[in-house]
Amino acid sequence: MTFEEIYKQYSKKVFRVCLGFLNDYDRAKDVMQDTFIAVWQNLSKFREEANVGTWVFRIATNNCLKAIEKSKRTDHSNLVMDIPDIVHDNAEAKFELLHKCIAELEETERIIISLVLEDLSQADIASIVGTSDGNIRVKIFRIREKLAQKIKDYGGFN
Amino acid sequence: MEDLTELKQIWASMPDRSVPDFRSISLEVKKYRTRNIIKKTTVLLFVIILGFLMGRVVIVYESQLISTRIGEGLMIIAIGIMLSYTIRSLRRLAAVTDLSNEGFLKLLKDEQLSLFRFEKRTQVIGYIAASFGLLLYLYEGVKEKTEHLVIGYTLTLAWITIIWFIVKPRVMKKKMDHLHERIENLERISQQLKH
Repeated sequence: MTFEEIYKQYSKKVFRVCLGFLNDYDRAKDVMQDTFIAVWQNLSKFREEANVGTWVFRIATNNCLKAIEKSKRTDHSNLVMDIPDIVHDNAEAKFELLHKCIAELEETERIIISLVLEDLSQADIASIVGTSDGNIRVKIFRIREKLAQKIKDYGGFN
Repeated sequence: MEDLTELKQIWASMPDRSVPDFRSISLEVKKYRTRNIIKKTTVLLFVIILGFLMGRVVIVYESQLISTRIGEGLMIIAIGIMLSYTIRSLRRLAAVTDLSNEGFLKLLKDEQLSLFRFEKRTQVIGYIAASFGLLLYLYEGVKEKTEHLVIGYTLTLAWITIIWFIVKPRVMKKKMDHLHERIENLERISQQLKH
């Protein structure tokens, strides 16, 4: 796969994961750029036997962790969407609410649920995060419950 | 629980305008490459100039006293420590791409701890070497005239005092607070993966 093909296939997905994690358009864009610079830098070293998507998401999520590690601890009470005011219709309102609820989760929970919503398999998520399949299954279940509760607390999507 | 299919649809409905196109990312990659080359070239030039200057002083200047040679040696050690720190900072985490989040967090934490040790111990050794080196090196040049000796050592000692007791503690405190905070952040995130 060429760099351009990888970018076209994964840029939106990576951006969504970064946005889900950082809750800030500009920082998400920066982290996404850092991710693809790392992909470009290491493409020749990439081992073909691994899944390219898993590899790209691993770099992206590690960059997200690096970004949050550098910043101060996130104060959830202040996290009222840094996303620009783009609520034009119901779909965007739903998108905003979902991001708001995800932003209130813990760091690793935000990574895991973003990868779930990107349709990655549990085995791939476990390998990206660095935990066992069993452990990730339990974690995903708990995070889904937590997210559902938050969505409910905000009155749901309707 | 909200239906996961619905959540996935909402998740995927992000406005298209948010993601930069391939052309702008290609430009970023090129910019990054240029920045990287400039950074590495600057460090390399710095090493060459410093090495050249110190070499010139050691070879060309015929010192009469052993204290001058010891001073030169100590300053070379201090420069070596400073250079290793600069190169280390540049190389840090440059090409780590296939570690899991857990492994990456551990690596970040280890890096922070080793930086912490470096700041606390090795850099102090560098400061001591540079200070003593300067004091010893200066002696041969000012020993002939008392007023040169007094002025030279007064100014040098004043400079060393300011660096040791005012500048360094402030800089170190700021750096240590920052490092502590980063290590604390990393530990908190690592803990989340264990539970």
